[in-house]
Amino acid sequence: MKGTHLGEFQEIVMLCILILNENAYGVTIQEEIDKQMKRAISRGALHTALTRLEEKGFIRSHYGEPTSERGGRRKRFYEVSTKGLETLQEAKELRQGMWQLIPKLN
Amino acid sequence: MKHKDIPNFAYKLFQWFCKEPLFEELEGDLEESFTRNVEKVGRKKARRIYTKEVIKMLRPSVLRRPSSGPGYQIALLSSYITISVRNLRRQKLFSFINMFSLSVAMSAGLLVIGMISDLMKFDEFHEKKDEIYRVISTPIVQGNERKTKASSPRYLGEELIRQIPGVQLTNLGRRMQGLATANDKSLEVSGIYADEHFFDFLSFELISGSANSLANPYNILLSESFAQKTFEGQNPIGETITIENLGSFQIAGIVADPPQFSHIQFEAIVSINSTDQLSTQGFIEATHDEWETLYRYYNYIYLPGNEAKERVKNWLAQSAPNFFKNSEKFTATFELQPIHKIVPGPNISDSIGPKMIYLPIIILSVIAAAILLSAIFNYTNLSMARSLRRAREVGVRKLSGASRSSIVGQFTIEAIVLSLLSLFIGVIIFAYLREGFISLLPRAEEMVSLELSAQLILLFVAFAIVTGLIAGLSPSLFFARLSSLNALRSGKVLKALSGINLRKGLIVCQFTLSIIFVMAVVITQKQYTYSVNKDLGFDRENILNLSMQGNDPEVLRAELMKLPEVSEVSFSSYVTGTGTWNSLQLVDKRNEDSIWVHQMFADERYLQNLNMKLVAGRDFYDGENRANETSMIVNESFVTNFGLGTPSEALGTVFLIAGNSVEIVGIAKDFIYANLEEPINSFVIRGGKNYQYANLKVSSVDAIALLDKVEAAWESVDSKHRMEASFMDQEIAEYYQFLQHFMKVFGFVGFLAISISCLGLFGMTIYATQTRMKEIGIRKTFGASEQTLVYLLSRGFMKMVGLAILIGTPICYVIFDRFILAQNVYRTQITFVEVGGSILFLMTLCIATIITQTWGAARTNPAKVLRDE
Repeated sequence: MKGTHLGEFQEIVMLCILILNENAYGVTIQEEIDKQMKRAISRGALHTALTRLEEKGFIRSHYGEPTSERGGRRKRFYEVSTKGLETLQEAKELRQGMWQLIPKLN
Repeated sequence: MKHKDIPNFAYKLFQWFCKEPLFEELEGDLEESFTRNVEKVGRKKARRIYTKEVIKMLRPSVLRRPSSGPGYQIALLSSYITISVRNLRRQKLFSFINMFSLSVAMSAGLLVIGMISDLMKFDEFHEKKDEIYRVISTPIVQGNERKTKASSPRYLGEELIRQIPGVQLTNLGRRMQGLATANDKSLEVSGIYADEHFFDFLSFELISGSANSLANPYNILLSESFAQKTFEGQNPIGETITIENLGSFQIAGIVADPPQFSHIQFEAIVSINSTDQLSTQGFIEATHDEWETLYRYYNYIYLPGNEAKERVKNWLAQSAPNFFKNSEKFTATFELQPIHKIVPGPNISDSIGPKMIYLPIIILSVIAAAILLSAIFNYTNLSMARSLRRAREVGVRKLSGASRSSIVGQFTIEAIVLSLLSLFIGVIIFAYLREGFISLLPRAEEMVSLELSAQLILLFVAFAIVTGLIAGLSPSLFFARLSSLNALRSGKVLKALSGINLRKGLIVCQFTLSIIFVMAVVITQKQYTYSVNKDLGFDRENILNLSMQGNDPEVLRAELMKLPEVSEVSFSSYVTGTGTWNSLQLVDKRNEDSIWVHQMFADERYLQNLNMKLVAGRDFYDGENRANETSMIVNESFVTNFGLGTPSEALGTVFLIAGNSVEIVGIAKDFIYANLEEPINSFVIRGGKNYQYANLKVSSVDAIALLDKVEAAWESVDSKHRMEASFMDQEIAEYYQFLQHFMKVFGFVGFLAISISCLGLFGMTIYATQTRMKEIGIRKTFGASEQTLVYLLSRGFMKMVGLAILIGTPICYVIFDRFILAQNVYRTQITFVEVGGSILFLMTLCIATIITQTWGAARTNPAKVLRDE
């Protein structure tokens, strides 16, 4: 199931998109990851992850209006698709299930 | 629009490598981060971060697919190769045929390339090869120019260096050979004479001893391998070696064996100053060092710089001829020959070592090129014939935007891939043919090894690529020009094969050559069988001929007769039937005329031993003619040629041989004493002396065991010389080996010609049947039988083959009947069997070739072809 596999980094990116809600685009996602995970990532690495996620159909994107703060270039906003959300849920439940199976903690 | 502080180079770089649609988003993000960073960490650091980010953008998902440049080319090339391999695999028969014909033709090309590349290596090992020259001379005798010689007068070089400073010289001489005895061993040695400057600028390696020893007479240097053979690991320096007919020499050093690719070859080097004393002792001619004697010595000179070269040239042209005593009678012109232009080189005589002239190389290259072009023509022909199938593919490619150049690329790469694959098979064939090829050329085994080196393989690959380029040129241009509309229109007959008559003509030519070669092989084989089995008039089975090498016949006979396997030993001056004979001048006593006849010497047991028949008179008595020559035996032709009447009447006639009166005592039945090419002439058998061979009549048992016993007997008589013996029937068969060589050449070229022409025919058949599919369909619906259709489709081709046979058969017949076989007095006849057999063979091949295609076409369901439109 290579096509629908969710990598750890990809999961984080999706979570950040969800946190940012309406304002998820390159720079903000990058900052959010930095803020949440204390992990500086390059824009290039983020781009790769976003491309993969979009290919798998977990996220969607659309362009915003041109703004002067970035040399008149449009922002590309990302949002998590239903399919993406379901996959995230599944991943979370899978983990929780596994957590509950740990005897020491119960 | 970019922020003014953003580093220009990084921005430009990013713009260059980033995919167009991603640039807006990604650069926007980077720029936004940059403006924030300027506030947070300052301008300088922000700039650094920006650059770092750009570099980290170098990933496949961001990188622009190059539309030109090396990356693009590689991507395109790999796609071409993939598609080529797929195409080759899909059309297995087509690929196999092309590969087969190309690889066979290539093997011929490879042999020639290998040979030329080996010859080019000659004398490349001399470090100063560009500055070493040899003086060559053209004698002019009484105003007539003679053939140029590689040699020059002995003292020319010395005079030259006396006049012109800065020039170095080494003086060499040839014909140093004989039986060398040292360390109780005798071996044939051949080498050169040289002076002490031999190692100065020629890159031969002296292993031990000093070069200066060559300044003194009677010193000798041995080559490493010869020293090893003679002394077997002992130190030979200081020992004495005796060379038959030259004298004793002191071994002063060891030289590394000359490289194979050297035109100077030697097993030993004798100091050149020995020649003066050798000539006073009469071992070499007294005139050896005169200027007029310019066939014995060589002057190799080292000429650094152009200025010296000019001066030497002028001296050779103007001053050198003045040394001749009488220039009206004998003079010569001198030239400089660069050392690397000796092999391969112009045809000059008296060379010091092996030589290879340009002519055979050119002839071979032309043959190879012709064969290769034929194969390339077939590739083109077949590719075009398949055009119907490929046209649709090209049409689709063009519609989806392929440029002409990419179509050309595709088809060219396809041809190159095929040609590289053929190269692989070609190299295997090459390795298989290598030895036969070398044995075809006289003395080639000394000069070319045809070993596969990395350099040679590179050459081969280059050759294959060029072949592919040429083969792919015509189909690729044809497909590139094809309009996509035409290509896609179904059922449209492509006018691929323009100049159809030319192609037909070429096929007729190819088949004409094929029939000639098939017949040549058959006829040569017949002549060989005939030659080897022809009754020569004497028994050749179970006769072992032993070279006497100067030993006493009686001693040898006594020793050999001890062996139980040897029933008789006779002696003769040569081995009959192997192409040699001797001449004799007789004086007819009746009218004092002197006449040339052929002769041999044989003892009183010879005729009986070889089962030669006497028609009149008697054989020699034991011991007859030993003291005084009084009697001879002549052959029947002698009697007829001299008009001596019947054989019995001729008995008692007396002739003068070297002043002695010699009487005819016996008349032998005519036998073939020379070879099948020569007529039987007047022949005289003399007795008493000059025996060179012992003829052993042996019982037919194990040949190897027998040879061992004979060798043991030989060694008890002569321990110095190695035994040389061979069976007479084998020796005679060996004499006709050249016919087998011919057969090999004819066979190989014929095989090439046949396979290539059959493939050409095959291509034409495919084309013709494919374009006529609709006609066949209609005919079939109207009730034509399959046989009729096959006949209809094959008729035209069989006409072409028939025409070729009509042209080729008489040509071949005339060539062999009038020219080649006509050289033999005793020859086989060309009969209907050979001619008919060859024709039948070729026709069968052609019919099989044509039927494979036409039969399939005739059997196709007409509904399939007619449904097309």
